[in-house]
Amino acid sequence: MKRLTCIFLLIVLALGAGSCKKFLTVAPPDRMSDASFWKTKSDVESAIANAYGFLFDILTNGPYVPGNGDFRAGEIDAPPSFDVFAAIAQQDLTNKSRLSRYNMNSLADWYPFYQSIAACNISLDRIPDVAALSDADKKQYMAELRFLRAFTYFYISRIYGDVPLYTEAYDRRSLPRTPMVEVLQFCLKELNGIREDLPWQYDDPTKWGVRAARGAVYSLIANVDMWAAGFDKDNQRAYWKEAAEAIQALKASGRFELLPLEEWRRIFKGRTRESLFEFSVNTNYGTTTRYVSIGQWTLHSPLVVGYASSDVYYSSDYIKKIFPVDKSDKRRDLWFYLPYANNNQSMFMKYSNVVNMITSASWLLDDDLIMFRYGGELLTGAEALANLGQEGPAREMLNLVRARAGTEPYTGSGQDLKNFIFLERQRELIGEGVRWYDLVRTGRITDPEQAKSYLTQDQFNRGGWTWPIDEKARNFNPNITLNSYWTR
Amino acid sequence: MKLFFNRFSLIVLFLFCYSATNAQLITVKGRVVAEEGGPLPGVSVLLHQQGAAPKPMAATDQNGHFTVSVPGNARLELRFISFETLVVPVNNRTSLSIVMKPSSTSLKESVIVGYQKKTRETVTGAVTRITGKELQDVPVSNVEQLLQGRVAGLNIQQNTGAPGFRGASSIRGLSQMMVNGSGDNAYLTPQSPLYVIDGVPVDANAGFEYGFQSQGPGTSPLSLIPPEDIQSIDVMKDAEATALYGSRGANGVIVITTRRGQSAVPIVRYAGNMFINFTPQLRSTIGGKDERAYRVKMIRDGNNLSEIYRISQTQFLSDSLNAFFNNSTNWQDIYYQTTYNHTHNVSVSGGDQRLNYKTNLNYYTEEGVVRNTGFDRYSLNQNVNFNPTPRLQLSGYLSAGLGKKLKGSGNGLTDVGAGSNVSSSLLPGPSYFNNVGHFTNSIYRVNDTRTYDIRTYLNIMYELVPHLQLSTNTSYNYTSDQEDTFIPALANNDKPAVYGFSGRKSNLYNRSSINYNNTWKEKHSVYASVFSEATIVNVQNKVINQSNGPNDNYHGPYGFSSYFSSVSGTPDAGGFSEVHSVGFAANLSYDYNKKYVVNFNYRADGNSFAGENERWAHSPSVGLRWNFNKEKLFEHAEWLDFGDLRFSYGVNLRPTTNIYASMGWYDVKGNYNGVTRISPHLGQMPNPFLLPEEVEQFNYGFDMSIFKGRIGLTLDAYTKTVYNMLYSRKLSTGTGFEQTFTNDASIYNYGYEAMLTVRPFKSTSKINWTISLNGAVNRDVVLSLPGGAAQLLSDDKTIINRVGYSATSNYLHIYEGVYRTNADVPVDPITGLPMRNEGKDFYKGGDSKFRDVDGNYVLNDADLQVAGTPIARITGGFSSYLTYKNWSINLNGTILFKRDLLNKALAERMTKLRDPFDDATFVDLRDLDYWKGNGDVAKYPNPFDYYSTSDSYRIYQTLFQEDGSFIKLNAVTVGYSVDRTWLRRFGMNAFRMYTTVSNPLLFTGYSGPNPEAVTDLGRDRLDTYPVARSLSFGLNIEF
Repeated sequence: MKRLTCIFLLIVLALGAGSCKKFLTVAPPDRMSDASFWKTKSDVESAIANAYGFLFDILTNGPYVPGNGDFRAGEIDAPPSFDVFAAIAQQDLTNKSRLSRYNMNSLADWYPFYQSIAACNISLDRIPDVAALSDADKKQYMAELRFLRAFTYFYISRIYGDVPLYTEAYDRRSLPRTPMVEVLQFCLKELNGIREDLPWQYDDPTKWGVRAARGAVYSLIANVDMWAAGFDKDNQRAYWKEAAEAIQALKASGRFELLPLEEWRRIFKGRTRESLFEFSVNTNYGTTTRYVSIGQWTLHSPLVVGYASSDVYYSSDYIKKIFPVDKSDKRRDLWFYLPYANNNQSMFMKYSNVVNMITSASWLLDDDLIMFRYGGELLTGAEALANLGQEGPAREMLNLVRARAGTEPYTGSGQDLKNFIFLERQRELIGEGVRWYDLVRTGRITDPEQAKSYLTQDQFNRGGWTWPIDEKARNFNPNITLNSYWTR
Repeated sequence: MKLFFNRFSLIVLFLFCYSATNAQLITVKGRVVAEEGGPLPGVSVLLHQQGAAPKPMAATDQNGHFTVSVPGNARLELRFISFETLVVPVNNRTSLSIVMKPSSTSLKESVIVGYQKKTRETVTGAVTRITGKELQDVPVSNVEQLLQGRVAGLNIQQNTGAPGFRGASSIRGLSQMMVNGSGDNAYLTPQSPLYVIDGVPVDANAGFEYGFQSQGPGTSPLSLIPPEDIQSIDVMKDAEATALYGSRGANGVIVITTRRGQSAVPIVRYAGNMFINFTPQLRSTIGGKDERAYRVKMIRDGNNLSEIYRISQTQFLSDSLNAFFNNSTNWQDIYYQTTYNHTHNVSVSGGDQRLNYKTNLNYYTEEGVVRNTGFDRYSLNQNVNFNPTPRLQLSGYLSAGLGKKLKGSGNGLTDVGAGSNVSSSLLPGPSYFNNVGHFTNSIYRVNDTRTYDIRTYLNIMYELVPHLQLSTNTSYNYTSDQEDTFIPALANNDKPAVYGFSGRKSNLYNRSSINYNNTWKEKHSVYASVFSEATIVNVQNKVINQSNGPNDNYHGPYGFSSYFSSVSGTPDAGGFSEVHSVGFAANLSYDYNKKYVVNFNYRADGNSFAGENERWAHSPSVGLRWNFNKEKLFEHAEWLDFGDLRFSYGVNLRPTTNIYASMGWYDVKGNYNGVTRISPHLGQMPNPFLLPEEVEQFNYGFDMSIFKGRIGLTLDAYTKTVYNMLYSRKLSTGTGFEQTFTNDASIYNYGYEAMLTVRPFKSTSKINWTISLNGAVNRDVVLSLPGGAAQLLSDDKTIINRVGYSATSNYLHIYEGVYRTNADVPVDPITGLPMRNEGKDFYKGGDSKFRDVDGNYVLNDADLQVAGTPIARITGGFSSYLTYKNWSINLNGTILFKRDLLNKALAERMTKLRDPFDDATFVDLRDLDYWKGNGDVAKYPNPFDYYSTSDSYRIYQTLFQEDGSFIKLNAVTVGYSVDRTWLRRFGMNAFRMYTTVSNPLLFTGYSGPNPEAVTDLGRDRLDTYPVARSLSFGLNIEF
């Protein structure tokens, strides 16, 4: 009898110990959790789509790209009814009531960007353990995520300056802001780590430009370098060199081309041979936006329904400066209607892929949110080369762009060449959210001749070029200091 | 699942393998009589076995006779409530005459601790027993109400008078201090004790995860247990007593045992009650002409011409000759009613030692004092015990209950329409031609709310070899909650709305144990047991909310239009969950001659929602007891019935939160570039390292009874420390998340409990009077907070947890009276500005004088101070049972001292007063000492200065913090039992009539209507459902 009891006891214990672990592992019944996600390739595809989508959501929450890129430079005239743009041009960025239209006041809150970074960090932590993925798949996905994280850090560095650097999944520490140059160096390190991991371009044309490929990585390296060179002056040459090499490699790959300028609507619709990195806005795919693209305010009928005049327009002084009246340039002729009118009859038509043209409330702009395209990056390369003194190759890149625009090649050199490349970037990338950052990184922002919204050197040093950071950032984090320029 | 079935089948296998051998049996007949008086019917006769639990054999019939078949050398144990248990050796006699004495002490009664019956002598923890008899005479919708004031250290707060709802309960101070929700809706994380009903743990918190935003019926399973069916309730307070109930017992355990059949002759009992609920005291308001005069005076006193001109534009003020604006409507009165209610309970029980049964049928109906609210209970409970052989016991149980509720316009806990009564008395009341939205919403809302509850269990016990028993208990509970509410168009801004709630919860539970007990040389007793427990709980709650239907004839979903109507779905919290838990426990008790008792317990708990990396919780505990009256020294001390010292130490761990807190979850977020996006949920950061909360308790106890039970005293002192307390920690935006749960907080409670029972008359006296008093003092101190913080604020800076202070203290501006004149307002000598709020809100004569703590002449958040705590420090109760011949008078009450309440109701109404143009109710100010003019010294600031921006009547100030102490008489019962001999003629065994007054008296200094009907954070809401006074007439008949 005793023996039987002992056996019984042992069986009970053995059964208990063996199946307990399984018994206690329960997935949430109504939602996906870590236990049920990260199983298949399509899970990972969804996570990747989300990583892009997150940034898309943030950058389309309001006209952030043209807001801080174009309006802030001050050459776009806005009537009092569009006071938000005037406020931005006047650098009145802590005035929440003036900025409340189109969510521009929300740009001060960096939380959405950090949500995106947190999502990337989690995915980066989990993907190596997904058994369903081949090593090649893992390499591809990890590279895309690291690209996106670096892109986000680069983007917020340009907005806020120093930012906290979170690189691990579920990191709950209250980190202080990391000096911007260190953040940029982190980005470069990351990007150089994945520079060979992605193909130059995908076979599937729906991914062109929309999913990061090597072209996007190289473009980002060049852009981070150019931005870092503006602040870390001691190491300028190294940055320029790396940027020049990246763009030269891009050019040498032969995968990218400049589309005829007459097909500019196709360029900005996206997914072309010229696309390097962009966020897809596509009514057919259900990703639509409103009040995001600058075209929203610079078009009128007949291009859109129900508006007899544009809301805002480029001041003719600025257009005359970059597109002199006596010089031919297809960019002026194709992208502008009445470029020198200096009133609301003029139109800036770079973004004019208008869909749903039924009522004044229904039409939408369907242009992609272009971050990098071949035309612009050739000029980045030209700028880097010119800075390094390699004027021949610099001019070659510059003139590729000019040739496409149907205007005469440039032959100058020295500082003239540098200035000309700068102006060429303004011509080529007008309205693409680049001008303010170009002014800042080249230091031209302190020159009243070149920048309408200029800053004194002192203002610049105190961080006047940054966007103010919402006080919310200091909640639960005593280590954060706000940008001193904006907390006067 | 596999786990139990394996084990289950093994046990069954053993049952068949082993064939029992029986000793020679003889038939014994006996008669039991009381020491003074006639035969005793219904006395349990048990076969006393060495080392094993006594086995029920029979019960006496109405003449006190019983017949049993037992071995010739057996010892019979006789038990009867309120009589001393007796052990009689059979010694091969076939006829016995037994005399039972009324019990004078509570020592021999048995209590149920850790799923085992133990005599009180060997219990080392702090356990209090309440017999069902004490709970019978008051008709209530929830049994828990009856426990109020009966157990030292068990604090039950009846914070709502809504029928069928449950108040707040806690044992020994605070176990949690996280505040959820905000403002009126702020509530503490529930810290309800674990209820174990007939050996099966039951979750008494229904719908509490939603707080005041309660979804669905919110009917606790406790509301479905008829009080008439309760045999006893054991309340366990310290860690040693609760140790074997595992992690869910960390807040204390309350064990409810229902009645069983005990008599060979079937007994039929009927208990009925008719009760009347009276309208409670309402808040005083001012009405009619006086109200208009007040308003107009207020405006004129302002000396502002444009304001005075506004009077003529405000029709209800100026058009006093218009019958429509010339009323004196008592808005509160239209919501309240006096109701007539009844309850009936029939129970049939009987059986012998082989087979006994009980069936209990109950009906309860109560209409609330607020119109359109109420609660009905239908329940049927049955149990059957079957002992086919002396070694095998089977018992089965089946209980089905239906609770129907009417919730009115509130969520039951509160009643929005009735409480806030927002209209001015000048406006006419609701009528055929005059719709008043909040009235219509409250009264004409159609509400069908049902809770179905089915509980079943099967318990099998088998004695494998002498002293070794195997037992298994499997239970399945299923609760279904349904609610259908229709809000007519008039009540909802012309938008008919439909609310549907469907919830179900199932609980499959198994406990299998091996017990060993033995006694050597009549001195050394050992009891050892090992058991395993497994539970699977499934919850699914769904909500459909549809508003803007076509009209009142469409109760949806038909009639839904995607263009006009709107819908919403599952509630975010507590919608779906599945929890698995496993426990293994071991217990070893040893006693030497019942003099020295030592107890060791150990339990390990695994839980599926604990942090992935911290799945198992281990709870050890130890208890010691010394029954010093058995020492030689007291051998001849006749005066000492018993005396003992107890000590226990234990750790209880409870797994925290839910699966999402440890695992996180993923959301679907539309698509991008043609691919579905799935994102980690970025609000709540998962924490896979979440530790279980650790509750460590020391308990020191002392019990004594002297002079044959005339005086009994129980003292307990304890310390209770909660470590690794769960706390929601906010995160910096850079993390990408908003908050996470961490284990950083800890809190320390210490306290004393005392219970004194006095019987002024001898047990032989005709007057039997028992008076008992109990009290508990508890203090709590915050030991640490998340992230090493020194203090944390919650609920919009109104509640503070500061290290070294009481938890959940109010954080308020200190009110120091009224500025008598403008000259009294201090002026900043530097700026020349008088005292002000942030901005330009300057103070002047008649405004509140708040303490400017930092001395900067600006009153802001920096001037907030830790004020009081809403957690009661002293709680207790008293009761008295007096019987004389056939008469009995019982009463019991509750005591609560040292609790700080915020009279938000008054503050809100004073705030409403500040807009004379708004047609809201006016408070009656006549008895308030307020500032009336220059130089006045007053208690309240000037209520009429309605364009002041000083915000003198802000809610969160000490002016509205009041002492919430009270002494409450819960119920008084007068009963009469009809003489038995006379009853025989009608074939009845007993007939008792009684009348009870519930809530007859409340002594308090609090200025609001009821210091008890406030939230667990001590906030007196304007829309609290009032606790009614009731009068009942009852009848108990036994056949």
